[in-house]
Amino acid sequence: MRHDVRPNRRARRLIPLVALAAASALVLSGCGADDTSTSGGISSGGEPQTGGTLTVALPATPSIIDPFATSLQADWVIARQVCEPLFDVSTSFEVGPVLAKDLVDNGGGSYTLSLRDGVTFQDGEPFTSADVIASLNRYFLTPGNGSILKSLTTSIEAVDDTTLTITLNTPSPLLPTLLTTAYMMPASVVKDRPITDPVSDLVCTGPYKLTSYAADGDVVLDRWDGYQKLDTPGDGGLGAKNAYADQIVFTPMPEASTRRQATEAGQVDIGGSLSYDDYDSVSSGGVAQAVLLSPTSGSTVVFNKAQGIMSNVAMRQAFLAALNMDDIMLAAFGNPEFYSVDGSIIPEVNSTWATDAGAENYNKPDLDRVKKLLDEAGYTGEPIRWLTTKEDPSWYGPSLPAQQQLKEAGITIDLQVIDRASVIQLRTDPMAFDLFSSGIPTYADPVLLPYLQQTFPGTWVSPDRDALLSTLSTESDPAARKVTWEQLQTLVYEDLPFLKFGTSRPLLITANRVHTEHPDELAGWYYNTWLDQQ
Amino acid sequence: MTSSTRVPEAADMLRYLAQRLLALLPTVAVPLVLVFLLLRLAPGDPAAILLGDSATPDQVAALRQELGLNAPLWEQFGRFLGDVVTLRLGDSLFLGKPVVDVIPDYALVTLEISIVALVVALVLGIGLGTLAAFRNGRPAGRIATALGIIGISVPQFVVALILIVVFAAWLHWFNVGGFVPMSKGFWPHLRSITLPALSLGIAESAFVARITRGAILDVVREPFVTTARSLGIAPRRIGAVHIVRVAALPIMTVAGLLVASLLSGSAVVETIFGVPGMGRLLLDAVGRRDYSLVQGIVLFTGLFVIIVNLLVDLSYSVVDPRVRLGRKSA
Repeated sequence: MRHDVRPNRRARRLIPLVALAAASALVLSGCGADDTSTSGGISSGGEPQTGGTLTVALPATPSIIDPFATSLQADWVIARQVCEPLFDVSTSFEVGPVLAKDLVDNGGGSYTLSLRDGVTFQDGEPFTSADVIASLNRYFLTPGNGSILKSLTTSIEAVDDTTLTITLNTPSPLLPTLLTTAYMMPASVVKDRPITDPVSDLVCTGPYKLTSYAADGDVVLDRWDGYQKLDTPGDGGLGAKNAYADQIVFTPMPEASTRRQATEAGQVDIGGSLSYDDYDSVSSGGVAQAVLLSPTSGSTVVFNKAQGIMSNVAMRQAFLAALNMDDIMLAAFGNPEFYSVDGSIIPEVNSTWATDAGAENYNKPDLDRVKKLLDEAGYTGEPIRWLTTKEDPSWYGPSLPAQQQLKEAGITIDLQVIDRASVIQLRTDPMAFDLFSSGIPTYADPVLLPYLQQTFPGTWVSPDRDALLSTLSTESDPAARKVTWEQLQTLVYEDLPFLKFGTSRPLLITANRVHTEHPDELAGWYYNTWLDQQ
Repeated sequence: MTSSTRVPEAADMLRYLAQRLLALLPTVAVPLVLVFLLLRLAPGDPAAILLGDSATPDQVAALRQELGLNAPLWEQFGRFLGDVVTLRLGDSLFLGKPVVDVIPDYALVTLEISIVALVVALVLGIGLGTLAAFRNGRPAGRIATALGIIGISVPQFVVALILIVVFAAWLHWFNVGGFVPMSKGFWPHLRSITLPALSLGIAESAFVARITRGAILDVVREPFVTTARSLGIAPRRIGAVHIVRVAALPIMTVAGLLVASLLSGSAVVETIFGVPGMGRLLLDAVGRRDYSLVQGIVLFTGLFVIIVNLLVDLSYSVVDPRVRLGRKSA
C-alpha cells in the first residue's frame, strides 16, 4: 500500500509501538479489523485477462494428490486442475462430456464410448482407449462411484484407439454420472497399480500441469500450453477451461484468521473456508471481499436403526416434530445469509433433483405430536447418545441448539463431543451410539448418496428403499426417475433414517483483483478465474 | 593440571557418556510403547478415514487387512520394532512412503524455526533477566520483571496473532502465513519464517528471563561475591566474570528444556502460520490415525530432545570447572 503523506522520522519510529498496542487491544477484545458490513460478491470484472500467479490459501493442501488414492473430495482440488474425467459436472451439477466425445446406448447394457480426438497427456503421449481401460480398472478399486461402477460392469473393451465398448450387467442411466470422478491417467502410470500406492507426479490432460508438490505444503501448477480445450462456455468441470493465470499456487493455512489476514494483506488472492464470524468485518471497499457460494453442504444427523431407542421409527419422528430448523440453523451459523432451510435432501443448487416431496413435517415443530410419538415409542427419559465433533462446524453447530430444543420437548440428549476420527469409527459400532452428526455434499444424482445404502453406518434396512433405488439405477427416462426420487425422498421422511437440519453456504475471501464468471467455481475449479493485470 | 589427573577425568567422562547412552534406551522406549498402545486403544480407524463415507464395511475390512491392522497387537508391535531396528520406521498410511523419508523435510523446517526462536528467547530472556536482577528494585528492573510476567501470562497464539496483525497485515514487513523454502531466495524465506520464530521465541523468552533473574539474584548473595567486593574488584568485573558464569548453569539447563518446549510449541505456531513443520505434521498424523508416522515423529523428537539435553549436561563442566561429570560427589 502506498501512502501519500509520510510521517516524520520520530513519528515513524512510534508506528510499530502504536500499532502493537492497538493490535493487542483488538486481539484481546476479540474485535476484527473494522466493522464495515458487506454483502459480499465477486464480479466478472470485464474482459478476462491472462497472466499472473493466482495464490489460493486452503485450510490444508492434500497429503495425497492421486484422486484414486483418497476419497476426500477436498483432496481432489489438484486433480481438478490437472486431470480430467470422461464426464464431469457443472456448478449446477449437470453432467456432460469432457474427454468423452459421445456415449451411445446400444441396448441390452452395451454402450459405445467415443473419445475426443487429438487429446494428449502432458508428457506428449496421446490419450487412447488403453489409458481409459487402465484408469477404469484402478477406479474400480475405489469406494463410492468406482465401486458402484464395478458392480455394474461386465466388461470394457477397446474397439480402436478412440472407441470402447462398455457392457453393463443391466442398462443404467448412471453410467455418465459414475464416470464423473474417473480421472484419466496414462496406462503406463496406473496399469495394475493398487490405490494404496498413490501417484505423486500427476500427468494428465488438464489445463494446468503439476510443477511442484510437497505433502501438506505448497503445490504449484503451471499453465499447460498443449491443452486441448472445448469450445463450449465453461462452467465448473464442463466446457472451456481457460487457464487465465500463468500459475496457480495452493498454500496451506490451517487457521481461518490467517487466511483472511493473508488475503487482506495481498499475500494470497483467495482464502478458502473463511470463518462466518469474519463475514461482517471483511470490507467490500478494501482490498478483499467476502464471497458466499451457493448452499451445497447439508448438516445432518444419522440415527441408529439397528438397535437402541432410535431404532423405533416413532422416536425418530419425535425428533423431527421437536425441531425448529430455522432456530437451529440461525444458532449454528449466526446469519440467515449463511444457509438455507430446505427439506430437499438434494440441495436446490441441483435443480434437477431438488424436491420438497415428503417434507411436509420438516421444520414444523409440534410439541403435542412429540408427546404422542414419545408415548408410542415408550420413551421414559433415558439419555440418548449423540456423537459429534467440533472439528467440523457444520456437524457440531446444530447439535447444541437441537439438544436444547429436544430437552424442552422432553428428550434427554447425552452429547458426546469427540474428535472426528473417533466419530467415524464409533459410528460403525451399533452399541456405541444412538445418533451421530454428519454432513452431505451435493451429489449429481441421488443414487450416489451414501446415506441411502444399507451398508452406511446406522444400518437402514428397507425393502421399499431397495426397490426404489433399483428403479432409480435402471430407469432411463428422466421424468420417471424424478418421480422415483420423489417417492424415495418421501420414504426417507416417513422412515427417517437420517434428518437434515439445513444447507450451509461455503464462505471465501477473495482479493478484489480476482474475477470469475461463475463464483461457484471457486468451490474447487480455478482455471476460469483471472486476475487484473496492472 | 597434570597428566595423571587428566586420565581419570577422561575415564570419568567416558563412563558418564556410556551410562547416559544406556539410559537413553528406556527413556525412548517408554514413550514409544505408550504412544503405540494409546494410538491403538483410542477410537479411530485409519482405514475408515482413508476410504471415506462411501466405503462399505467390507471395503474397510479389506483395507485393514491389507494394512496389517487386524493383526494382534503383539504382532503389530513386533513389526514396529523391526521397522525401528531397520531405521525405516514403517510406511506412512496416508503419504504412501517410508516414514524415514517423510520426516527430514518437515524436521528441517521446525529445526530452523526453533533455532531462530531459541536465539530470540535466549537473547531477549537473558537480557531482560539480567536487567531485572542488576536493577532489582529500580524502575528499569521493575519494567523488565513486569515484561517477563506479561510474557509468561500471554498465550503463544495471542503473541502470534498480534505479530501477524502488526508486522504482516499492517506494516507488510513479513508474510502473514505460508512457508517459502530457501530455494526461492534468502529474503523471501526469511520473511516467511521470521514471525513464526519470533512468536515461539518471545513466548519462551519470558521463562528464560525469570530463571536468569532468579539465578543472578541467588549468586549475588553468595559469600564469594562479598569476598570479591571486599577485595576491591570492580562491580562490573564481578558481575561479568564471577556472577554470570555461575548463574549460567541454571540458564543452560533452561536452554535444554527450551528445546522440548519449542518443539511442542511449534505445533501451535506452525498451525497458525501454515508452516509445514513437524508440529503440524504430528497433529495431522494424529487426526488421521497415521500410526507409523506418529510413532516415527515421537521417536525422532524424543531422541533429539534427549541428545540436546545430554550435550547441555556435558557442557556444564566446560562452563563451571567445579562441575565434574561422572564422579560421585564426595
